[in-house]
Amino acid sequence: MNKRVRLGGMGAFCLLCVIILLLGMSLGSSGIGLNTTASVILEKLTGLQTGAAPDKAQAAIVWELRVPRALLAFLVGAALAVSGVITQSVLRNPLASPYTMGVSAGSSLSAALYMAVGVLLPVAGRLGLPFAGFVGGLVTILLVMLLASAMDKLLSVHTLILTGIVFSLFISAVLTVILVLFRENLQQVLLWQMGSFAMRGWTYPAVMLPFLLVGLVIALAFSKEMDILAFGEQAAMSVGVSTVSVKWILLLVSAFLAGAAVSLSGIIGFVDLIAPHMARKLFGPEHKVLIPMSALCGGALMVLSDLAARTVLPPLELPVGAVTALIGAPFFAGLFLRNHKRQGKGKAC
Amino acid sequence: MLSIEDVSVGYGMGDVVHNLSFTVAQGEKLCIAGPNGCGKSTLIQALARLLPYKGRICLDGVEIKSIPRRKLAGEVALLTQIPALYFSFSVKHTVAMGRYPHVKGRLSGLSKEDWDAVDSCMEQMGIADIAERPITQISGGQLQRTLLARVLAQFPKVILLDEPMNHLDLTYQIELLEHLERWQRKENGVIVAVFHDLNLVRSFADRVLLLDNGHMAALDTCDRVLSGKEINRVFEMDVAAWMQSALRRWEK
Repeated sequence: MNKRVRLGGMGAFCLLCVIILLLGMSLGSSGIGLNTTASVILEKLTGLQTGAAPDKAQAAIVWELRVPRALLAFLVGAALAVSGVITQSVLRNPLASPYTMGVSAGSSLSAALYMAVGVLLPVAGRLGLPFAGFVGGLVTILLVMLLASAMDKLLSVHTLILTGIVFSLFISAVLTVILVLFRENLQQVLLWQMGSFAMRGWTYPAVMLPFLLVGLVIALAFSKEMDILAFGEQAAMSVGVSTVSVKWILLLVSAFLAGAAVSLSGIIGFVDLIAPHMARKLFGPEHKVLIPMSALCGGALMVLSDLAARTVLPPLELPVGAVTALIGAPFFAGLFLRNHKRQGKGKAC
Repeated sequence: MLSIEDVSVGYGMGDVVHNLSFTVAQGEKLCIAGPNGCGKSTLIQALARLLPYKGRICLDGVEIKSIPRRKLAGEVALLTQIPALYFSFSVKHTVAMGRYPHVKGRLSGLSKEDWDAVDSCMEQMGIADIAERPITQISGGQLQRTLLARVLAQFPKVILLDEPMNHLDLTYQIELLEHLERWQRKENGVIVAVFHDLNLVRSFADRVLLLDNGHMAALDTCDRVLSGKEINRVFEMDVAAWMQSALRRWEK
């Protein structure tokens, strides 16, 4: 792709993401227009007033509910997408996602234990539940990698995927046992698992942002290694990549991002799978471009999914995880079929 | 230049290659031959430090285990058979990956010198005109030339070949051998190659290392090894007679 065309495309895509974010902040059941939303945001950010001052209630809805909600959705989507890029690259599998490695299962178990046992974490405050979910996801990936490493020092892709799947299944079984033992928490756990950005306030996006920035910078720092890993472990090692240490770092970063996202919003699938594919299709597979563009793509997709979740069946609000699954599952099936056909013709993804 | 001293290599359930010792001089093309499972690829992987080994493998007198992997990749490069491709990088970007051992700084990109080196390697391999094409949309021959260009972009002193001709038709095989010989003459570099096809071995090698169940059966000039008794014993057939009869059938 011509460099200028690609840069122009990236600029246009950034603009589109900003528009989607603004739409996410504007549209909703209370009928607040785009102009009001824009003037509230402008006033809050710069102190400048444009036209008539918006109604206080409307300003509160925009600034206290919609803006943080849309921002959280965007940040979570971006984090999941970057996590997806990393996992797909390290596992050399375009159909892999951080959930393949057991992050979501670990977070769910940890969050369910937190809800069931009701342990209070005074330091974490209202972030106790997300904190528990984050730790669960990270501990799970550590265990997966340690076990995989014990079986196969080179951490080959097949060992990693199999260990991740086995761990996910095992943890899901433990989760089921816990839900049976603590039935009174069943609904609460299930609701958390379905994912939502409702009523999170400013704290959650403020917590998510540094996680995303740190993960993004580390992922970008390893973009060359991720490119090379796409050709396989042997090829990567012979070009000079220390594959084992790079895999450790990247999979931990992937879990760090996915764990933070899952813990703050619940389990929202498919964005981590779809966003990297869309970005790859639009901007190519080079990771130094793919990583930031996937982040934007994931953020925009999540904002649109959340928008659909709260506006399709008013006054009901669908779990955002259900919306992403409704869009993602057919996408996933289509991708699988396309890959299958291409492999039949001797071509790869 | 490359010295192998009492090297044994295995996969954890016992050694596959046993106590090999030999040297490869600068400007030499050594082929490793032997039947399936005799340890040819295992030995090549140890020479590339992809597998742990016992004994010593030295490059210009320095044990390769003591050289950081990234630095070693600037000295020794490996070309294998075409890997499965999952992502469609451009030809140019694929070749540029060969500059990885020479790039300083984690967040910095390639310098102008690096890009010049990439362009030069693509020119050498005759793939400059397809530089922007995705590697998933080029022929097997073009892809293997792209991967060889990536190997050359590492600026190695030693090129290791692990059956890179597999799945390539005859024209592409000859083309690849010619590119490799041109590089070897120009750089006075070392090539250690594993080829399944003894015809390729005969047309390419200066010397042949014949392996039998991981042990050295012979190490000598191409003519001596391919027409000697050891090769018949190792392959359990009269190799020279079979090749001559094939040639006679061809001439008829």
